[in-house]
Amino acid sequence: MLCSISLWGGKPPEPSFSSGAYNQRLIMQRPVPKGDFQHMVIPFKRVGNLIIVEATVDGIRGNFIFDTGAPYLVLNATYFRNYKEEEGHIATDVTGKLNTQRTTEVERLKVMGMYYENLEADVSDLSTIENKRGIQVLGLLGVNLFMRMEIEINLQDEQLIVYRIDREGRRLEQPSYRMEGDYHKSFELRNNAIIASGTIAGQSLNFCFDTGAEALLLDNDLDEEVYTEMRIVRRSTLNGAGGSSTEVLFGALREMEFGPKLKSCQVMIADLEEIGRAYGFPVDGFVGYDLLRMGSVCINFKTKELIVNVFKKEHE
Amino acid sequence: MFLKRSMNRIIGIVLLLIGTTFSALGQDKGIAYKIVGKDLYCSIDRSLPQSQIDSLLGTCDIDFNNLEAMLRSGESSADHWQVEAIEPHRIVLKKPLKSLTGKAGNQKDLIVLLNEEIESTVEDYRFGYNMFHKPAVIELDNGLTRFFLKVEGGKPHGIFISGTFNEWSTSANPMEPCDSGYYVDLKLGVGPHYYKYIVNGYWLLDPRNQLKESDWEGNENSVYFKCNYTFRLKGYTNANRVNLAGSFNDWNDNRFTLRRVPGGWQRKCYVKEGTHAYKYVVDGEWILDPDNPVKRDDGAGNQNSFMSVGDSIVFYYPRDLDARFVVLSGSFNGWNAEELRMQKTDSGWVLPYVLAAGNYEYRFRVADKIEWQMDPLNPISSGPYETKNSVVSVKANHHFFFPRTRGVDELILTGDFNGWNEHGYYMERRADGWHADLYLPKGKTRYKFIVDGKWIKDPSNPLFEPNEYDGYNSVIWVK
Repeated sequence: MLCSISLWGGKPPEPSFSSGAYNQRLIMQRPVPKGDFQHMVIPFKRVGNLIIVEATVDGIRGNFIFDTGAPYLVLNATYFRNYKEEEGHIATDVTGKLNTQRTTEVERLKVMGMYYENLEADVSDLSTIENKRGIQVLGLLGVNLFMRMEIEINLQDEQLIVYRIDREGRRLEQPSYRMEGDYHKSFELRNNAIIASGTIAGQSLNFCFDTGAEALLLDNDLDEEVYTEMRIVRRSTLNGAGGSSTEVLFGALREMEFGPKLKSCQVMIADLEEIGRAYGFPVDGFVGYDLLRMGSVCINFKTKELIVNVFKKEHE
Repeated sequence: MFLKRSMNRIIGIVLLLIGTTFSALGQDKGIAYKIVGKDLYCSIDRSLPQSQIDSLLGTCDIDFNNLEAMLRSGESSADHWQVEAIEPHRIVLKKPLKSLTGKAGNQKDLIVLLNEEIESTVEDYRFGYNMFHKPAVIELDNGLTRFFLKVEGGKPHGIFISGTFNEWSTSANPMEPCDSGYYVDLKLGVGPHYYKYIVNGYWLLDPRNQLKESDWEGNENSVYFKCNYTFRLKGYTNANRVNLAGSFNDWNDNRFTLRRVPGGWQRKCYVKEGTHAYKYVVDGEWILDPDNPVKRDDGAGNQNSFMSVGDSIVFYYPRDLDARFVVLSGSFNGWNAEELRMQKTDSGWVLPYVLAAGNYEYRFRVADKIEWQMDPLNPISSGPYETKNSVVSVKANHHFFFPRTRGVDELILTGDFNGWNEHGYYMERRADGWHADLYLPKGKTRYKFIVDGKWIKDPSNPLFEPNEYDGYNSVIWVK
């Protein structure tokens, strides 16, 4: 999920929290999770296809989206607008340009028995997701919070399990354990985005594995073979401030491969060039929920591997 | 020449493809899309009313009157659409897929568009009752509700209850150990509550509760009703079965069975606030409630008993004491002009009436007066001047205030609660500024003030968010 760019056009009269690309300095940080655990089960709630985790920021408890599309912790400007702005840093975005975004520091972020101290965060507008989903969202838990761990996402049981790992990516509590899986898929970490290849209609594409992607999202400038696998159901326009608008096609994709075969995916097609610019490299698409609904997905940030155990019901 | 013929053939094949495939797509009526090669095709059904065709063409930035000219010239609209064919039954447009307008800046903003039509809905229960295998939830004398969970095996290292009462918090309400399990006492409001237990991080339905509801996300939750009413029928001790049917359960006479008690029958349940009609069904025979004097005709010659739940508001109209009658009419009864006749007293017309929490518009219809009267004692109103109505808030839970501002004669409060109506609510003017008490439902409310035609956010509320008009809306969360 991109947090630091948005569709708002023009210059609003109040400070904007939604311009520019991702903050390179925050991307480089690797916060250390503290707490007395080797592994921990974190129950989550589902709203739509989003994964909602309860967390506390400096005593403020609320909903956070577990979002591997976000590179770091993002706080919702509605509630953290008055947090002190980080000073004394020259921030650059992923393209190396001066970054005018607002960053702040939280003293303590706590997720059950796991906590982080003196953590830097981006402050962005997340009102669209709040309004569309009808829940209060304090922020996004992005990738760098979990990069020192292995994390298992089980949509069926509605739980995340985080494991502490060693330098080789082995679980500290069970170094000899090697996770069996129906599918092992290697990925690349680029600016904290989990990038792995997937295939549609025989065409290999670069996907970002984004747990906040409730549907498959595809760029509108891919090989034409890719579009033969889908039917378009409707066209819509997302209106932003200042008259900006984005044309989006909605449809269904018959099948794609991303480890397992993902069938009957809801798909959206739009111009993703700007999103790619925020990440610092072009992205052909985003996949999230369509993989998570297939099975439990384990992300090991040391071995850079996605391991999928297909849910029995889906498997049979 | 060869090229042109080939192009015509290609177009012919494309149109054939569109024609055969579009009918199968479940999409907006009268319009269909297909990607062929790197082009997006759009087919508009010409059997639609012309106004709809104009509207659909408008979404492609094309004027119906220019269709023929665009077809001949091959000219594109500002949104890059070209007219591909004009046929008796359809108009076909196309544009390069690459030319979708605008660049997506945020994938989540786009994705919520996809799901806007399938947002989950929580059922608005009018009536409900509990069904447990064994006692697991009990009401305590101190007004709290005790949830009990028997846990087998070893001692859990974390056990919580999570539900609609704590915004599905996974940590707010830990359970305490007792001799045979774990318990927690909660203060609950009347009505339905969805919940689950969390044991060592694992979600668990209440094993003793038979009542479950799908959350529309592929999972189920246990449901507990905090009851607010007991239906009682004295006598009929020889009957085998006494059921209750009413307007609150769609007159289903086979679902809610009263329990036998000494001297009669009774059962607790939850009934939504408001006024409801009902009857008992004793061994199949429908009877009025013999102990309830409130009976009304349903308009078809049948009598029903009536009961009310909730606080009664007394509507009062102090004028026109010489009128033959005065009728209260409002959004709460579909602006029925006859139903709610008021009672005449020495000081005015009165009518006690039970309403559920909410904001309602109303007026008084006075006999022989064409114009319906606003409430002269109520300063809160809504609507354009010529059709203004008085506004009453039942169980108001938020006070809005805007400080006195020189030169401003009226102040309007608008937001999610009134569909962003630019005509209201008009706030009450007092010495220090403008005031209004409103009922806000649970969840998020966005609002603004309109001061001399200018829309401004609440200067005293630190919570606000950007809107699509380059401005900001104030935000309130009701938990």
